[in-house]
Amino acid sequence: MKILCRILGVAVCFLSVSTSSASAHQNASLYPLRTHGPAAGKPSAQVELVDLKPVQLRPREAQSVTVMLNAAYSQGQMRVQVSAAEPLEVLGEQSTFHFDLAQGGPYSLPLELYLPVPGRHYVNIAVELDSPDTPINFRALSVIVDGGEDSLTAPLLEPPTAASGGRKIHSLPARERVTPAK
Amino acid sequence: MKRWGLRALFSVYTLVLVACGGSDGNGDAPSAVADLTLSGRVTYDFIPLTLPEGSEYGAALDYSALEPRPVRGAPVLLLDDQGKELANTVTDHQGEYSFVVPTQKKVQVRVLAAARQEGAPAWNLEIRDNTQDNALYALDGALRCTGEQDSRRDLHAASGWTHNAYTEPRAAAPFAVLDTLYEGQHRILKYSPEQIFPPLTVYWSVDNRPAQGDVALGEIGTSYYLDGDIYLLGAADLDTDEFDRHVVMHEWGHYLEHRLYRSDTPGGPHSRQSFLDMRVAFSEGFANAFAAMMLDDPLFRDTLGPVQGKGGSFVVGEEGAPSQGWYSQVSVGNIVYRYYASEDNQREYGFLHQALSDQRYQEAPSLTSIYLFADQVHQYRPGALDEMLIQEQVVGRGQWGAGESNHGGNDAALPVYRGLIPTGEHQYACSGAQHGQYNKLLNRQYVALDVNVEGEYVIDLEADNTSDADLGYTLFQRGAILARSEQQGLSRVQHAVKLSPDEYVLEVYDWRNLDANGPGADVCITVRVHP
Repeated sequence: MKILCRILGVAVCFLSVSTSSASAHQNASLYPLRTHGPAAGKPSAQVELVDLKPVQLRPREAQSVTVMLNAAYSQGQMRVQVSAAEPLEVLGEQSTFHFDLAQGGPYSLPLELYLPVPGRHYVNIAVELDSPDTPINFRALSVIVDGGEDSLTAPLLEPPTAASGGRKIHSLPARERVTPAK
Repeated sequence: MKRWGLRALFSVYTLVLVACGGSDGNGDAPSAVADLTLSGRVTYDFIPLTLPEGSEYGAALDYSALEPRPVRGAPVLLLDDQGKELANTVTDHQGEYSFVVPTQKKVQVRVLAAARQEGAPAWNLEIRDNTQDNALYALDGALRCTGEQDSRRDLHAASGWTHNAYTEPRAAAPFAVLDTLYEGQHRILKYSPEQIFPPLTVYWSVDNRPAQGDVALGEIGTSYYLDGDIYLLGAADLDTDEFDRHVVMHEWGHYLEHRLYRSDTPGGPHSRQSFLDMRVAFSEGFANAFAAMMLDDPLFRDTLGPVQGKGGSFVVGEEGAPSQGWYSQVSVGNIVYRYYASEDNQREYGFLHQALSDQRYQEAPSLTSIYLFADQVHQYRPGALDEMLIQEQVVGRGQWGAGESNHGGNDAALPVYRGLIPTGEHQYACSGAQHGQYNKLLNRQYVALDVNVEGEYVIDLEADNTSDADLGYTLFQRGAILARSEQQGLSRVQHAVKLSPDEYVLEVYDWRNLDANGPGADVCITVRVHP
């Protein structure tokens, strides 16, 4: 028996009765329970990665990876362009894929990836839809590529942060024009 | 010896009085201490949107039409050479600020990407970098001597765009976001001059990309609102939203709905053709309409791709919904915006703001939906939305959607609320995944529970096929979650709850239909609530 009391001017007690074998488990897919999942995202074309888990890559070794997409449309065409920022490389001839949405998903993107140094990088996926089902016909996605330890971050163009009166500040340089007051 | 001593003494004397060390190069003799005025104007690069060549519905940032705009209502700090704050003020509507400063003192002007006001009205808005320990963005001028006369220091936050790419710091971005929200805030203040806005933090970074992972690395997935915070994309040539004002306003609309009005939505992915849970349909449709209302522009645009030159658009209020009805965010957006722009309402947001801020709306026993919204509007303006509702095939009326006949292709979706009194009678509801999982029509079914006598009751759910069911429920009291089942894998759920006289909503489902990654299930449930 599990007893739980809530405070809302009403006392609520639970008596849980199981009539079939049950194994209580967390439902990790409930968006509000996720630490980072969007609760209310911007309108966009409904094209999603099937698997959100990072792709594991061994550095200095070309590897075949298949990225799968789902698209919530049943008519039209979908064009997918794959790219990556250095040092991650997308090898092979094919970096652009075409799909007939009438065939239904999921849609496979077979890729060959090469990472010369360890770190965390991204494969960028630009989706262009030609479908009567959506006026927002572009979608950008990124696949996380985990190339081992020492996550490298791209050098920032802005100056590093500085503490100011106990409050962390991300300083942005101003274009300043100084003149005598009239 | 004496002459050498006199020279040294004069040098020290000069050093003490001329604190900037002659850095202004004038070589003037030291003067008496006096107060000067140090003023200036703060601006940022605003980048408008345009239609890409050859495109009918596209959207692109138009860097060639970039223009300076004032940074309004932002805190301006005067710092000394140790970074200590000497004074502070706020930019006015023109971006102007002014300080009284001493002569010959090295000071720096800093403008925070923030807006703060205490009392009534009140607000506390900050733009922070989620990839740099949530640091607050600030535009910094150089450390310079105040000299001997009044002066101006105009600070400009540049876009960072040069030679067809972002090659310099993107200083304008946080201030572009701030300015969009400033505009919305002051629109609300026009109708509610003593409005108190709960604190809001907007996170933006050049590293915020459409990957779903660690937000501290910028892996935010998409631009979104969650529990008092907004996250915005900023990855150049992939997807940036700092200049997509409708996107920013859409997310701010979710913030207002959640913090000022009422929001029951479970969130999750959505699109214009989705058959959505009515709460999601209302929340997303309202947010689209809200953006159009705040910017007085129904053309909703979102840019992305290389050089931010691609994107899409749709016209709120004129969209042809693939599936019209109470479960369609397009229908909701059309209804709300059309009413806003109607002759009856005259493009004034004030009435809608007051209606949604009303206690009657916020404490209604039904859940948020186009029905509750229409019912609230009709309290003050009877029948005002009737024509728009009919146009969008929303047939039901009253907050409970009574009489709805539009079932979205599956009659299991109706009635919208099944009525139940806790005397042992039953209702029958089917949870399904025909339209997808988690937040789609049919995933969750609603029972309106009318309790007249205080007491202990048993919520009793039984699946029609006991060998394959995973039942769950959530019990709402005027939008607040009163109770919910936690255990999964059950084909029969019996929970005792103590209830006082009131109207409740019992949401029932099969857990597999709330799993966004699962295959879903079709399960019919006998629902009883009895003493």
